[in-house]
Amino acid sequence: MTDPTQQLIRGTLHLLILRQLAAGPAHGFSLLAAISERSEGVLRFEDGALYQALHRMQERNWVSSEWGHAENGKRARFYRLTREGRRRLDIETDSWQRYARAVSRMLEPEPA
Amino acid sequence: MRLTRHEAREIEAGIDQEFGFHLEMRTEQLIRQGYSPQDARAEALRRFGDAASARAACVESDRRWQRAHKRRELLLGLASDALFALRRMRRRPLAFAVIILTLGVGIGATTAVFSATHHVLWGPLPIADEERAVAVWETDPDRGESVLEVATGNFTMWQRLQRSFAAMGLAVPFGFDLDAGGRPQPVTAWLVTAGFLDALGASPALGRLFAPEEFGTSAPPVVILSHGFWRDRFAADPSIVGRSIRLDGTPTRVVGVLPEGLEYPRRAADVWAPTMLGEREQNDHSSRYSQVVARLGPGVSREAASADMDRVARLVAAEVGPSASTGGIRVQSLREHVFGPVRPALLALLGAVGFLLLIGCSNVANLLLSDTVARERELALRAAVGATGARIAAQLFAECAVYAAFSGVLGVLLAAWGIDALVAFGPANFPRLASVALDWQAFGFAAAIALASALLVGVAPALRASRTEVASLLRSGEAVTPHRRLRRAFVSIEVALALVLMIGAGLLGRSFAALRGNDLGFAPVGVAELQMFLYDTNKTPEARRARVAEYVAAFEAMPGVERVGVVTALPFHPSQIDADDDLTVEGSQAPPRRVHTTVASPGYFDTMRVPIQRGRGFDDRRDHERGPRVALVNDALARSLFPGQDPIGKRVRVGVMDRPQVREIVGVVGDVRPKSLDSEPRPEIYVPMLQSGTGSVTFVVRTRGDPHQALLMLGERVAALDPGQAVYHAAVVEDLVDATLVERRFNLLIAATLSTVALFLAVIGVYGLMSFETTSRTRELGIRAAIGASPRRIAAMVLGHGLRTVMPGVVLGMLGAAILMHAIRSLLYRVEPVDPLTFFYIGAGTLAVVALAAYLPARRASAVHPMEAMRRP
Repeated sequence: MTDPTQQLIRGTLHLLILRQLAAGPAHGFSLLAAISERSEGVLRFEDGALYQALHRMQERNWVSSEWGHAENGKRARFYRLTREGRRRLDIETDSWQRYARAVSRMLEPEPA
Repeated sequence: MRLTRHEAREIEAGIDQEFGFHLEMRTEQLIRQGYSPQDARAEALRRFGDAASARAACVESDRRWQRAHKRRELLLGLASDALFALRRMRRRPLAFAVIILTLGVGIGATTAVFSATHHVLWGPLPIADEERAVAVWETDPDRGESVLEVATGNFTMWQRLQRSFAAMGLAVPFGFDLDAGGRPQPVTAWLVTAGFLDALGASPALGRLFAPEEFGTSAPPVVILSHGFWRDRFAADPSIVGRSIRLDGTPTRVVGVLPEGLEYPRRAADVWAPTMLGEREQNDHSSRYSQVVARLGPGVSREAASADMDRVARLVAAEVGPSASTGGIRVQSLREHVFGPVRPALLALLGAVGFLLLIGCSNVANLLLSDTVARERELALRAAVGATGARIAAQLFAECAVYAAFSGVLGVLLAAWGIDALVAFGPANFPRLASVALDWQAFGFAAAIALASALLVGVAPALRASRTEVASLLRSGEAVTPHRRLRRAFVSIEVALALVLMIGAGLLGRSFAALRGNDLGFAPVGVAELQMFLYDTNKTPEARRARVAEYVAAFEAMPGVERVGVVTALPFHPSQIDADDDLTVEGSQAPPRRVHTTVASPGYFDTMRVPIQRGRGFDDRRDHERGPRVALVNDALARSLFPGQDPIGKRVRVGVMDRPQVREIVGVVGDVRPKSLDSEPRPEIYVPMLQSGTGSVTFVVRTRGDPHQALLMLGERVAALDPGQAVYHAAVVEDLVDATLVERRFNLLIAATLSTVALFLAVIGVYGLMSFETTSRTRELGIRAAIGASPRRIAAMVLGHGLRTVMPGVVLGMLGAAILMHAIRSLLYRVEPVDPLTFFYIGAGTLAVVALAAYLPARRASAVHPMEAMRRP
């Protein structure tokens, strides 16, 4: 766990999950697949970390879960965004974008 | 909120399943990407990372979430149940009002009495280490008196001989005249010896206690005020400490104020002053008017002190002679001394209001039970759509919680009002009653019993509901079982409890009647009394006798006055001094007898209508200072001294507030009750006023008109004759007699009120049950009527059924009373706790009233027309 990218991801894992769940309810594996697909493999983390994050978010009432059937007919736990989670997503998205803008402005070459 | 084992297992299983699903999906994905099944599985596990710690973290998260969730659900459930209950109650406002009122009255009464009992009996005393403070008394087994006030001479010897007490002091009741402009005002006082306040463990609320040198005769006079006197007379002005007030014409410095509630010994006094026993008092073994308080030494128990004082009693008897202290010494805890006399009444009262609450609870439980019967279909429906028995029970309990809240609030309001009433109407000399108030403990108590009562009334319906059989209830038209047995049990208990209270009130009533029927030995109606101390303005015996004669003449000259008498110790007088002395019969070898001694004028016996039974009364023309010494004895003394002989002409040697003298008995007067209607007459000897120099006298004035009116005129007459003379005590003698009955009358009034309310509630219970049962039998009764049963027969049948229902309650009540009445034995007078007459009449009366309550529904049932009854569902 010395890779600095991964540490960055840990801090923003909640945001990624919230963002992905905004599209609709999903089970853990499909969330993982969607996140790695959309990030083109840049954002990588251990699968177990996702579940820890999901359960912590449920504890904070950002997401709720219920059992359902996956595409292959197997029983899977589906997560969905709560109203609290949607509010959280707006807040976190906003603060992440301001952060990212600030950082990228810093990285632009200084005007001559 | 804890999780059940099942819930914990569910959480773990859920996470295992979730992880399992993930690994399966990942493995399948990897196989599709070309991994061999074995490698795919290994790769999936690798990508998952540390599964054990992830699992642990998830389990912890889920547990916390589930606990919070359960809490929220419970509160939401309770709130919705309570709301539901409130909505139901709004639809049935009358039933709701009855329930709240019944419980509220019970809770209020119980809380008020609990507050009073708690404060009076168990509240802290404003003294240090109260368990070490004891009251010490003389006893006289011969006269059956277990607590006698103490002679100063005996106290002096106790102090010298005892080995148990760290401190010991004596208090003498006394009166001062407070001079604050205008007429002098009488002020009640305790004169205390050094050590008394230490023994008591008192500490001042303001200023200080007495310094050792202030007990000397040459010290400048000082005084400590009682809290009540300081508040009422000096408007609680703290600057009074250090200032001087004029007592008996002498400037006296106020050095301190005692804390509130310090009314010990039991008689409340306005001021406390230091005193030192003079030589005469140190050797006076006969006048008993002092109270002694002592403080147990370190490591000394009350029992050990008691044994030590038995030894002291024997030494005193040996030293002074057989008569001085023929009795023993009693060591009593101070708390027992102050509160012992009121404890039985208070505890009985607490028990009585508890019974009342239980009766109210039974009634409400029955009402709720009949309500659940009506609701059973609704409850069954809920059960059918998935509510568990526990869920339904929870809903019923939520209803009870609503009842508890409303009736608890009502109860506290009623308790506040009840405490005010207790304080206002309670006997004035009841210790600490005046300072009873609704405090947080009372609130706690009210809340606790409100909850307990609500649970009590809710438990039967809830149990019932949780066992509801869905199928049997949903079948339409099915008559529901009205669980008769439970309801009858409730009504029986009500009748039993009410009967116990009725019997208690009956016994108190009979005691009161027996007491009122006692012959006083004198006629108090129409007599006014004025007590004065003539020593200060009239220094010699001659001057005092002249002044007494002057007052008598002045009073007799007033319009409406029939007769005037003078006496040193008036029966029933609150500041009566027990002056006992030794009496020996001349020419007899018998040991000296202790007798009660009184100085009286000739007019005293006429005024009080104490009959002269033999011989003659006093006569001022013969029985004056220079005449032969004479005395009158009462019947009790005559019979015990000279059984079967004529006492007239016998000569006895006795000292009456004076040195012993030989006196000739010239007459026998009737016995009088000395202190209260239940005090037995004692052996008494009277000597004529003109042969004594006493200055502590009580004038008795018989008037034709209203003695209260006369009292005012007498006071004015005294002021006109001698403006400097204070009247220490003035009252109508009939009121004094009445005052001794105040506590008993109060007890009786409360007992009668509570038992009447209890009976009323029980009657409502019986009536309710019988109405319900008769209504549910309407069809049956209609059929009976149709096949020829007469209305009278039907009424008899229903009534018989009613009597069978309440009979167990009556029997239970009788048995309960037979056991419980022993607890109020000390409140009874000349009636046994199990008095057959009382039990019979009250039992029969209660049965009759209850039968009437059962009869009314029966009559209604018999009046129903058969056709109408049959048509009913």
